[in-house]
Amino acid sequence: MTQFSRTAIVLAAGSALALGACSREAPDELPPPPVGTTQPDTTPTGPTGPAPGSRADFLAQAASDTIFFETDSYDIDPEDRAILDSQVAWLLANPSVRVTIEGHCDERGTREYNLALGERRANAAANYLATRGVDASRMTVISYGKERPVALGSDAASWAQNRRAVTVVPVG
Amino acid sequence: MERAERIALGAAAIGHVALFAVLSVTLLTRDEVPRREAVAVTLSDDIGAFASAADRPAPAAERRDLEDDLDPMIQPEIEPLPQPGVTPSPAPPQPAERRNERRPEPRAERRPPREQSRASRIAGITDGIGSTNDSGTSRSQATVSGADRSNLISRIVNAVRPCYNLGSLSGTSAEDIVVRLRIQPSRDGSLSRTQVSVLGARGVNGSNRQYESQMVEAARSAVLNPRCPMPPLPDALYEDGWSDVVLNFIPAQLT
Amino acid sequence: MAISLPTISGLRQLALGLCLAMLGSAAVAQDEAASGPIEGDVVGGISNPTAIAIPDMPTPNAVGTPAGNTEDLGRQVARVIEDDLRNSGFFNPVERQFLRDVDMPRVTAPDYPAWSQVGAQNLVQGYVQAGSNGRLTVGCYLYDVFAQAPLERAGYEVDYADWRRAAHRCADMVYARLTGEGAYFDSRIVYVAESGPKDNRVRRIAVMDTDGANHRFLTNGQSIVLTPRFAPDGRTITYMSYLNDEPRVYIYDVETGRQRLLVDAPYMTFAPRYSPDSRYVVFSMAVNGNSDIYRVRVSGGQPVRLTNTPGIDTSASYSPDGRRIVFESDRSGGQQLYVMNADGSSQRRISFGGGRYATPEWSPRGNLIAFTRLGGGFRIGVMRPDGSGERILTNSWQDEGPSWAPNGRVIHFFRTPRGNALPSLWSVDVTGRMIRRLPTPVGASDPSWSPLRN
Repeated sequence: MTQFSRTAIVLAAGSALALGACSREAPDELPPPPVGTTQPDTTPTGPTGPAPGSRADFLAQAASDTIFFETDSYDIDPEDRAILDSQVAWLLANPSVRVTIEGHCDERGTREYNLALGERRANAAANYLATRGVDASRMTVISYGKERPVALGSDAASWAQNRRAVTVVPVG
Repeated sequence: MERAERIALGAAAIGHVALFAVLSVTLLTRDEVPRREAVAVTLSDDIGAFASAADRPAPAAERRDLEDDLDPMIQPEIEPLPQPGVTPSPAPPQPAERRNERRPEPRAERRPPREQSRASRIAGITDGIGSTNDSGTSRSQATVSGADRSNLISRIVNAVRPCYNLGSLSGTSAEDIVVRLRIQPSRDGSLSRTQVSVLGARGVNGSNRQYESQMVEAARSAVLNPRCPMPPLPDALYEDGWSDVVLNFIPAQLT
Repeated sequence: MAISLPTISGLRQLALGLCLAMLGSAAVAQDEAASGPIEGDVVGGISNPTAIAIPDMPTPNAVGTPAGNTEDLGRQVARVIEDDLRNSGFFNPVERQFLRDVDMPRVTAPDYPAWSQVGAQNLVQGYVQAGSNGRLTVGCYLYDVFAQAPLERAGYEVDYADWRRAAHRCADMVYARLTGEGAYFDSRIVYVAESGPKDNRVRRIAVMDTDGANHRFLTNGQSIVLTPRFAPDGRTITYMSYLNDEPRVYIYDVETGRQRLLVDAPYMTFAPRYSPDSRYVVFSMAVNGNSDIYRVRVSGGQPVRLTNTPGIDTSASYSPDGRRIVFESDRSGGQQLYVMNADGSSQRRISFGGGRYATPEWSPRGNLIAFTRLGGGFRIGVMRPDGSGERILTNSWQDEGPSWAPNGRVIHFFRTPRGNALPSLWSVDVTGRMIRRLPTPVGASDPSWSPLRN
């Protein structure tokens, strides 16, 4: 179960190549692509790749924009740290970009508690980035509790995908 | 018969509109049952619709009836029951006198004096607690065998129970209230409101006081519900002078 | 008559009761074989809805009003009363085919035998009259058919447009008189209307009458909105909005439709609840991952911090006397319920059952606290303020967010099905009986009752 939830990573279409370079095992089944704020930039990338500092650039360079959590937890584990470290590299290379860290929960908590839990998760990610040198003033945290799931099912796989913190680079 | 009286009173009521208004306000403001406060507020807010409706072309009889009908809205005043062990034993009865007194009573009660009715129609069913002692029995009842009594009580209880409906009171603290009714059925088992008296309610406390009159009414409705008629009573009982039956309405299952 | 047939469980209860009653009465008879009155015990009441007749209300003068002809209004008022009483679960209105026409004189002189014949235990009669002052008067009379006695009567004068309110108040009068409970039909519900798929859901604050009528949306759905609560004075609604991507608590003025930020802070504020006097709001604020409970005047100003523990303290709810606050905290490891004084002192855990406890809401009567219990699903339950007497009232996949009716007898909550389906509003009696879905135009969550209107 734990192993599965770790491998059930959201694969954004635009970052599939970048992820392919990682040593991560391929998930058993591909979850649906995320929508909304995590949607990759749709502007044509051109032969030279995405524009530096853009969302597409971030998604191409970082291991992932998303880290996942255990049930009712906001601990950052080694796997999360690897992803966040790759985000740090990009953020330090693009010091003018401000980001939003979104915290999300699965549906198995009450609404208000999950708002607080999502805030904890977003802060956990932001605090790690800050300890690695990203200026805290560049980061905004926001919790969506259980109100913005990416997976719609009521099953362990869906819940695992929804317990997440997402680093969002503004479009454009 | 009551309607005839009402018509007469209604006729006399023309010109009593102002009196009605005053009465309405007085009666509503002396409402002492906390539960009704919200409703009372509602009334005092809106009663103007009635009181100020002097220009309303409503029949005078209707207004008279409104005034009339305020009386029974007063909640029944129910004495707490004595402890089970201390139910008053019958005072030394005077059988002959008693019978003479009691025989006409049910019929007389069917048409209570106006004063009594005005005092409180619901409270009216508590009348008679003082006039007849609780047990309301005479020595001669000993002539009816214990087996007969047992059988009769079973028939009465079985007849009434399917109509003892607690409705919204079920599952609430109201179930701690035991209501004690005296009924005086006619020989054919028929029963009207005036043949039902409330002897008391036991188990009333701060948490269920709001349900007291509803519990009394649930018990009363059980004996008055035409779907649950009383069995006819043996003539012997009447000849012996004890047509009274006391029923204890115990809401909760034995625990 | 097809009226008030006992239910299966009623029959079972009846059979058991009969046995008990026979045993009991036999015992009495043995004891008093030689003397005493004929006395028996009727043990164990049944619990069926009360049969009640609500015939169409006549009008003394049929005239047109902006809300329709008074004759027609008389019919509609009776139907609104009927629906209110039926939906309470405690009443079984006599079917329309058995109802009789009532003329004006009969309003105050009911034909008791006729109503008894159709099985009605209680009778609601009344009239509808257009006044010369441009308002509508509804007279409302409640009778005990078996006892052949009037029980209560009241008159309500309303603007034509508010004719439904007069009906609700009549139903409230009947309900209060016959159940011993407080009224609640003449109130409103604010909730979160939800539409669209789960991953892109549109949420709008909406209000409606308790029967679903007069529904309207207060927000347009461009921002996520959550957890609305009516002020006890009914004048404002507090809720949480993601306006400008900043999740904050707002105060919405029902009269003017204006909204304003409650607390201007760079942190998420959420879970707002009013104090009973409508002067304060308690809410949670999340600072660097730590959520605590604060209090602030509705008019604004400096918030006062009430809890100060590492962890999530949220979902605070005042006792009706305003002296205590119940809230949830995970300070012990998982969500549990705690009670503290209104100034934050004397914090004390009250829930100790298995699983987690969340979203406590203190009953307006003060005697119970409703909550969501988590563990193998979400269920709605109640317990006393000292934590004793816990009862679970519902059983479903996810029942969440209890909210009390003004009379402290009925609880609303929202039920979320598995998967992508929309949530819906439900109500349950505090005894755990009569679970019922409330109709809403779209999906619905986070119900909150307004106080009784006046």
